[in-house]
Amino acid sequence: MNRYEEELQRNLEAGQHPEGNELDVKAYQSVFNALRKEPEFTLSSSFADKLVGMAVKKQQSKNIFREYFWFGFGIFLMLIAFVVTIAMTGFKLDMGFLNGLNSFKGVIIFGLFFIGFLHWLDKRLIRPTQTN
Amino acid sequence: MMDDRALVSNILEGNMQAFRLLIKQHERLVAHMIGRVVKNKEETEELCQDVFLRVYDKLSEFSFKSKLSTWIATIAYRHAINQIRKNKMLLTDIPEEDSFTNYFVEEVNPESVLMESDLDEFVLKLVDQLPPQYKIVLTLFHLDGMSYPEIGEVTGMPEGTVKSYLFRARNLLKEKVKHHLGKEEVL
Repeated sequence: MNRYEEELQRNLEAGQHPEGNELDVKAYQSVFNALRKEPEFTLSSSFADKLVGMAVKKQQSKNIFREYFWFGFGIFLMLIAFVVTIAMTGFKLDMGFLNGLNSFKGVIIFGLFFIGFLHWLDKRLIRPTQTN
Repeated sequence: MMDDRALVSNILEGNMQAFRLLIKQHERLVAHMIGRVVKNKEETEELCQDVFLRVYDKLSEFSFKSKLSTWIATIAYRHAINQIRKNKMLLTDIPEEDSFTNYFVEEVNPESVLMESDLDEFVLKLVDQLPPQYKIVLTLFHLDGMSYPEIGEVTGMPEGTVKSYLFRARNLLKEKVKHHLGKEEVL
């Protein structure tokens, strides 16, 4: 590095008026002034708001992913527990209890229709009055 | 005014007002760095957004070994350099010889020099023609008031290189301005 130039730059950095060739000093001062000038480009006034919105969305999609992951992991664990339980207890599916219901066919059909009827009533009469 | 630690812990707890404050505090720094190397306004704003989203993603990894502004500037610097590579701009150095003043900064047409009324604009046009890493070092030192070690930390350059880049860039600009001023005096 050139000592003379270095000295000029160091003095200007320190905010002192450097000793030297007048044209050199003037040129350096112009350079330093221009370099300190704030650029014309500025970010839009809504920049921070836009970014916060993007970060919130990103966070939400991350959370949704996390929720789905744990949901899937939970189901996976449940299936494992199910398989292990069956293997350990030697459980065998027996549908024999349905034979007992065979003699109550009429009651069961009535029950199904009655529940359907209650749902229909709920939809037609109760829900519309609640929304009004 | 919230200190860096409080600001970071608030953001990590999900406080979006704290994140907004972080953006407001550092948008000038990031815009300076990106704006110096990318001239397209939309592209600059998009890159600044990417920088802050990266900051948001990586904030939990910030270990307070440096100032938050230095860490953010490091991320912005990497983004700027990646963009330069993407745009296939040269990351070349200014040669050591005495004649380096003629190397990167092209000789400006004398007529345009005479037309140039604003000396600041003239200097900034010359700055635009410097290699990107020189522009960033000049920006961090003169506009953002960073010290040599801080600039070294941001750019990954040794402190000596930072000093050398600053010296050479300013010397180069001074020679051009001196030439310009000399011509004005003759007139």
